[in-house]
Amino acid sequence: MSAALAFSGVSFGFGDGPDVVRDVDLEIGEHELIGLIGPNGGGKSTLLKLAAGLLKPRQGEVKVFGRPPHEARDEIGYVPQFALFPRDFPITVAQAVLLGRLSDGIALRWSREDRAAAARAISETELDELADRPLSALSGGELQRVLIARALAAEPRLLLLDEPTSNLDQRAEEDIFSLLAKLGDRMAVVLVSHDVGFVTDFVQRVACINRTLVCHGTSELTGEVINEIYGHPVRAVHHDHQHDHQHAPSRDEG
Amino acid sequence: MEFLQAIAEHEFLQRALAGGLLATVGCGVMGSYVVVQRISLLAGAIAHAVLGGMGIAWYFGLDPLAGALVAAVIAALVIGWVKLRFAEREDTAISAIWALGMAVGILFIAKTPGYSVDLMGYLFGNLLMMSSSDLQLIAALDVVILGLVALLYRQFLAVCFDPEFARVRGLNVERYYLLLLVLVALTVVMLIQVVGLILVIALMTLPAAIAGRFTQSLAAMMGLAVLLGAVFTAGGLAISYAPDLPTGPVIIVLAGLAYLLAALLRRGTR
Repeated sequence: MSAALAFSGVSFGFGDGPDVVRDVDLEIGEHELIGLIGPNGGGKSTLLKLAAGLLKPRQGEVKVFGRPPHEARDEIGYVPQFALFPRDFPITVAQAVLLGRLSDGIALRWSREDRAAAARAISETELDELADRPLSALSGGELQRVLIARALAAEPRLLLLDEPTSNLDQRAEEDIFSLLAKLGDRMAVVLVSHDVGFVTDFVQRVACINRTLVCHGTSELTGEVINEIYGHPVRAVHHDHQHDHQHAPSRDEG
Repeated sequence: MEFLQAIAEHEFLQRALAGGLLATVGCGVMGSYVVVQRISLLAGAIAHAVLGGMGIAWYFGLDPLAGALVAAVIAALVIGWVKLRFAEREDTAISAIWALGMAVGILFIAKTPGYSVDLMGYLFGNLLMMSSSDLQLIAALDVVILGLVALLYRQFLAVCFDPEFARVRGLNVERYYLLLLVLVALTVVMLIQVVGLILVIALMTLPAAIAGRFTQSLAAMMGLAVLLGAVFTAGGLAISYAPDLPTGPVIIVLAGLAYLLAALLRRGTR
């Protein structure tokens, strides 16, 4: 069985610039919930974009379910950084979610399957009551759920999320994480975060990226490792969450 | 009203009204894209560069509107290419195309033998001079614009809303972007006769910007923008008729006043 996402010897840089990521080897299992963490500018988001097929590696290979990302498009759900998302676009929640069904073909109307899949994504993210609202009327957490719903509308098997909880208050953050934990039962979930302490409580595994893969594993992050990736001690606060869906050891790859 | 009487009697007024209303259809649709994409500067550059094509066509004894059409499409493609390739120099490149097009146009017009062209008509529009071939051109451009927007509505929506996500879904974002710019260029040509190339940006963006404040989907925004554009155009024509004012500027002043009013109204409710 092939991995949901596999990087082998991947390096990437912009133009003639230096490598932003260098020689990354990483495999992510089909039902794994993994956090990519590291300092700003460390290359986490770049790795995510490589996985989504938005960038092409300089060296090495990226495979999504054994195929190059652009051939495995239908398996990929991509959730961009919502904090940077322009919110004044005239579009409703339902319309935005439907766009997740789009493919490059000409059709005048959405098909019945398209509408059904979008409706499932909307109810899974608990957006039913907001479906006819314009994006401009949503809170940060609601907008984040819309972007997740749009990705889910395509019924992906690999969900990629860029900083899904930055700029959210703690309650909205917990809502997003419990949604992701639920999704992790049926798909691979890769999320990029700079919030080390928080993420490690929720995901099954973390991969620390600072240009290259510094560490990965199920073990707790020690202060030493954190110093190594960030170059200085950081606040490693482990928030105390009363969630019962934290690490599910049976699914750990170990 | 004097205007209503006059319109029943004079064919040139009927043509002016028909041309103005036809042009506002494509204008409201493409203006909505210009507003949500925030590319009014780009549309302005295309509009002004058009004078180059008109001047050259005039010099060689061709139809200035044909020259405008060719120049608009070329300007749109060049600007689009610059924006996609060298995003960091976009600003300078757009201004250069803007000024260069106008300079070339003025040079050719100055050197055209015989009587001098009605330059003011190109710059500020001359709705009352609408000929039936102008009407046909405007109608044909409407058909092209509406046809393509209807076919590619979802793709254009995806590309404007979130180009990165559209790319993940396999859309050729650059291709759609250039196509949108070409359609904006066609709209510019339609509007030259109505308000002139200097005022084109205002008629494209003001109705759409007002509509955007009161609608929750791109399609509704387009519909309302068309309606508002029609009101401003017909209203401008009616108001300008009796005191013999230039029509284009009256249309734009109406649109501008409505925009200010909408901004004030909306401010109270938010």
